[in-house]
Parts: sequence; C-alpha cells; structure tokens
Amino acid sequence: MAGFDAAQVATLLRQIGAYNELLANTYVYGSIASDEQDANTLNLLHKSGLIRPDESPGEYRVTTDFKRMLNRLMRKQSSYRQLTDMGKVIDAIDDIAKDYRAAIDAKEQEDAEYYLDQLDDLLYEVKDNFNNNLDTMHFAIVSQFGFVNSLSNKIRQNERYLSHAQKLLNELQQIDPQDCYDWLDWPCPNEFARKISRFVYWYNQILPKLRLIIDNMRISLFRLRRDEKQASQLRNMARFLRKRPEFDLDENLFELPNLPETLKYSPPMPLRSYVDTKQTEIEQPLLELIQALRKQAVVQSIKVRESSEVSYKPIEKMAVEEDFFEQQTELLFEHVIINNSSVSALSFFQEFQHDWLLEQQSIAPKAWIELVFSCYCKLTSAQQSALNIKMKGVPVNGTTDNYSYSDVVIELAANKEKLG
Amino acid sequence: MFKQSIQKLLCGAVICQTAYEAEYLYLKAESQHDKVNDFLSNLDRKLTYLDSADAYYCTFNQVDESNQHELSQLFSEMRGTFRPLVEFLDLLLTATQADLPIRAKSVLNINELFEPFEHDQTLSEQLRRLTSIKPFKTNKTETREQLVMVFQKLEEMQYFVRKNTGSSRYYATARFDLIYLLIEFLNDAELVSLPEHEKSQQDELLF
Repeated sequence: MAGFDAAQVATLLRQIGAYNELLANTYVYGSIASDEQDANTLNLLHKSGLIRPDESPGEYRVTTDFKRMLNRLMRKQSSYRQLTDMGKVIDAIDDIAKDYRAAIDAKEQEDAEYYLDQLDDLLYEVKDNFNNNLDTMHFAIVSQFGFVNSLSNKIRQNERYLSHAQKLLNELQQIDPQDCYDWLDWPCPNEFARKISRFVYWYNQILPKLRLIIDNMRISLFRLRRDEKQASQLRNMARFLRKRPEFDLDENLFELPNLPETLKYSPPMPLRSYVDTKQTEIEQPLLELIQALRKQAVVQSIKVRESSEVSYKPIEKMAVEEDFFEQQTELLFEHVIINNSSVSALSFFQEFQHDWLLEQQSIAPKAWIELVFSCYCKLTSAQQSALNIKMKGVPVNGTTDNYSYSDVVIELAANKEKLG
Repeated sequence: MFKQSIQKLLCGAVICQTAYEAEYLYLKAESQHDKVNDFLSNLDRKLTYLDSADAYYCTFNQVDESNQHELSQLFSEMRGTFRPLVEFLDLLLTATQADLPIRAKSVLNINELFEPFEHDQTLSEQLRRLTSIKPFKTNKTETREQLVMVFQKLEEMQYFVRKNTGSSRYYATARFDLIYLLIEFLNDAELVSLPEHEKSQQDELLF
C-alpha cells in the first residue's frame, strides 16, 4: 500500500545491489570523487536519490534519506539522539484514527486499509525508535561508555545520555493512555483495536524500562565522577608526599573519633587448634598426616659448599727489654731518697758517664737531662709529691715566661721544706 | 563455606570477587551475611561491606585495652606501606597513561609495562627509588627485575592475584580501594591539605 508497485522498488534495490561497493565506500568514508567513477553511474545514482553532489565540486555524498536508512539498519551510535516528538506523534495518530473511522463509516474499505497501514507504520516507527534509543543507551551503560577512552569524555557522554534519556521520559510522559483508549470509543474493527491496545501495552512497559535506564545512568555518572575524584586525589596525595618527605600517618589513626567504619580494619586473629588424641574417629587421618610429614622429612640433601682453610700465626713470646738509661734515672731517684740529698742530673751524668761507657752505653748530656725530666713526669702523683724538681735555667731574651734550661735537680720534698 | 569465610575474615582477608570468589558469593547472600555478622559480633568484630569495591572484611567495634596493642601494630604496618603504595599507584597511572587508577577487578599485564618503564628514564628512576625502600626493597638493578619484584611483593601482600603462577596477568583486589578510601578520609578530615582546585568537582552535588 506504499503507492508504488513492487517492480519500482525492485529496480531501486537492484541499483543499490549493483553499486554496493561504491555506495558502501561513500557511506563509510563520507564522500566519493567523481574522477574515480564513471560519470554515467554517478548520474544514475543521483537520479535515483541515492547520492547527491557535495559542496566541493566533483565529490558526491550519500543522500540524507539513504544515510538515515543505513544508519538505522546499521544501528549507528548517533541514532540515540533522534528524539521522538510524542506530541506530534499523538496528533498524527489522532488524525489517522479519525480518517480511518471516517473511511470505515463510509464503507471505503480500501482507503480504510491504507490508513490502517499508515497507522501500523507510524506505531512501529515510534516503538522501534524508542526501543532503539533504549538499546543504545543500555549498551552505553553496560560498556561503561567504552566508545570513548578518557574518563572526562566518558563523564561528558554519560551526562549527555542522561539528559537525553530524561528528555525522552518527558516526551513519553505526555502520553495519556486514556486519550489512546478514546480512539477506540466506537464499534471499531478488531485489527484497529488490537493495534491501539498493543501500543498502550508497549507504552506501559517502556516507561518503567526507561526509568530504570535513567537510574542506572545516574549511578554510572556517580561512579565515573567518583573515579575521577579518586584519580585526582591519588595524584594529589602522591604530589603531597613527594613535597613532604617527613609526613607520616597519625600514629593513633585508629582512635580518631571521625574514622569511617570502613577504615576500622580489625587486626588479624591467629587461629590455632590442638588435636584431641583420645578421639578415635580422627585416629586414621591423624596417622596419615604424620606419615605424610615423616616422608617429607626423610630427604634432606646436603648442600655442597666451597671450603677453604684459614691460616694464622702463633702469638710470639718476647722478653721485656728495659731501657738502660731509664733504669739509670730510677737510680738517680734512689740516690735522692737514700741520701736524702738533692741530685743534679748533670752532675749525676758526669759521675756515672765513665761507668756507662764501660758498659758500652752512651747518651748525650742534653738527652739525659730531658730523659730525667720526662721520667719525673711519668711518676705517679704520690711519688711526684714526695720528690721535687728544680729547673736550672735563664729567661730567653725578649720573652717574659720562656726559659732556656741547662739542668734539672731532683730533691726530696721534705728536704726542700727543711731548706726553705 | 561459613567456616572458610569466617577463617578468612578473622585472618584479615579482604573478600572480593577477584581474591576469594567462593567466599564472596557466599557472603553476597543476605542470610549468610547476617549469620556471619552475628558470629563475628561475639568476637567484638563486624562484617563490613565496602560498596565502592564490592568487598567484605572485618572491622573492629571499639578500641579498648583488649585490642589496642594489636590495632597499634596493624596501623603502624599501614603507616609503613602507605607512602610506597601511593607512589606505586601514581607511577602506574603515568606508565599506563590511564586516567583511572587500578582498583578491584582491574587487570594488568606486566609484559605491557616493561616497555614504558624501560624506555622512559624518569619512570625507571622513580621505580629505582621505589625499590630502595620497604616493602619493595631489592638489590636487583634491572628495571624489568625490579618491576617483577614489586608485583610479586604486591601479590604477597594480597593486592594482586594471579590465576596461575606463571601468568603475566595480575588481577587487582579490593585492597587497592582501601588505599583510596584512606586518602579520601585524610583529605576530608583535613589531616593533609591537598590542592583545592582538583577537589571542587568532587563536592558537586550529583542529584
């Protein structure tokens, strides 16, 4: 009842079939250049309303009608945007219903059939459009807007879809099922009544479906925004930690009153149990267990390791060698104590120098005097307080407290006091 | 399954679909959830469900003398791993050029990460620094080996699971979500001051 005969439609379809690749490329790549094709072919397709010239000369695009048909059949993503203006649809159905009733009343069967056909197309188109919209939206949610990659684009797409779904809901809510039933308020033929009541049935089903989709879209948007927040908080935290190397979590975090329940992890509990050996029921599995453990313990391969020897030298024993002249200084101190008289290092040197030479020992007088002085310094503080040292010397020219010494005299402290 | 679930929960496991699927499905049934929760309440614990990660774990009811020492120990372990884990997650964001951090159910193929880490000097340097501190400390010098070590350690710490030992695919568990939760808390409780401009969008009312 489309107003064309089947032959005309077949011709058009044949043309589409004959130039399938050309048309498919034009549809997929947007346009086709005329120099690549025979001008006659392009003219033919243009006349059939399948392609149209593009703004840039020599190029052709598929016509809007043909593109829409292909979009529809290929279930293109963009089709979700086609918003059905339900006000207009209801007006159109209302017109058709009236025309149909008039044709039935006038017993114009063929015209009535034409209107019924038109009604069928219209209702089908509306339903199909909505179902298609819903399918696309459902796919978008399920795939988490997988057709775009970045999180911000997903959020943007989700927002768009949500607002579109809300508009669709508004459109659908304009329909009052009672108005639809009014179209049946006459002794109408069954097929007409069936079409209208099916439409109302569909309407009653699609509404909760759409509401569910809107709810899911809200949840999805909420999740996407939460993900975005999570990502930005993570980045900021990493930046913060890098800037503040001394930062550490609060030691008593678990005691904070505002700590959310979800962060109050409980510490792991060590779980252990002991075997009741008196229970005969578990005797068998227990034995098996012990056997299994024994088997494991049998083979213990010894690891081959590299070895080497450690050599050491025995500790050498050495006799203590005493310094000859240090012994002589002790003799000097003895002289002082035994004779209770002061002894000059230089006179001691002069007195014993000959004996020392006989023993093949020699020392310079300066070194001897220094040795006596240093041995006096090495005495314990008790010994030092018993013996006094007197330095013989003259002040160095040009200084106040520096002296040039020529001899030291050792004497008993008590003796000094007596002398004093 | 009651016994297994209780054992896992008491041992500190985070039960999610990736980590312990059987226990997760068991707890998903409301009646079992209540049953487990009733049991845990005798031990001063409760079963907590984290909606954002779809995961269950044990939480404490109150802090008192009986658990203070253990809690202090647990939280000090957490203090020790917080910084390196944040570093790792941030590093991964840069390496994968993703705008979504990994969380429960994310899948990572370690083979795909070798290339960006080996070719980007900044990344390999950051990885080197990460592997010089606990818990990722290692003597390995090759970037590839260091990355493998980090993933193995995270598997040991139950942040990742693998379907079989030789696999290069690592499935993230809900433990990662707990880190984001902690960051959110630190941010919201103003224990740290993160830059404001990034925050404004989050506070926007959705509906």
